[in-house]
Amino acid sequence: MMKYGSGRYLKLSDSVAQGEFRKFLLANHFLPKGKRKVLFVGFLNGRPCTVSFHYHKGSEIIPKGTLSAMARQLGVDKERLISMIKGR
Amino acid sequence: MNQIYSIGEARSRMHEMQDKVRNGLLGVMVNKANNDLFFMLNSGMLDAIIEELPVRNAVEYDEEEGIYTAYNEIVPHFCGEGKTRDEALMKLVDEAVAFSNEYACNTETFSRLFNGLQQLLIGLVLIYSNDEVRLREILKIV
Repeated sequence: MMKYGSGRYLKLSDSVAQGEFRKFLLANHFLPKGKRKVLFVGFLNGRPCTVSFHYHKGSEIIPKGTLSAMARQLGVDKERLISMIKGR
Repeated sequence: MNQIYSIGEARSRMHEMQDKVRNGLLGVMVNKANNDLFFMLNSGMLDAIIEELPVRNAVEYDEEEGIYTAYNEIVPHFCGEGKTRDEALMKLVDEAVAFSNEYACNTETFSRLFNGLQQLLIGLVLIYSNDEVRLREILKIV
């Protein structure tokens, strides 16, 4: 939740689109690996890791459970991953 | 009784080693050049290990998208999506095989990223990739 100056609260969206996630991977210098285009290898928080995911179009929202699985693959919790993707 | 063999001994005394393993003794090969150890075990031992593996699959439902996601808690790369719980679990099995095949093609990269338990599960999926019933047993999908 983000507090406005007026005292109202704005709920920030926890939805992550596939395109946002790809941008996040590229920004962290992850590289595609293997024949399929859904497997990436790189470093996060100084730790080597790999992440694979289902193919979705760039604008499609990643289902919450899939985001949990991706966070687990990257060794962070889901909320932390969303914050990192959203640059919060 | 000797259960530890050098690579050369294992090559020349393979029948003896197989007999011991068949009768319930672990066989061990040691590469004296780098002290790497390799273990041989029989199928009964492997079945017991598979039965005791702490394999669990999480299933989450996204109400907004109407999608179920199933993923394995040991190797979360084994992950499937579907409109029903069963479809997601079925896709998890397919993805487990696809990911394990990628692992087999890139072992130098991936072997450093996965711990022993994860490697064991990936290895078992590869061995039984053509046997869906066995795969479901290994991945504890009933």
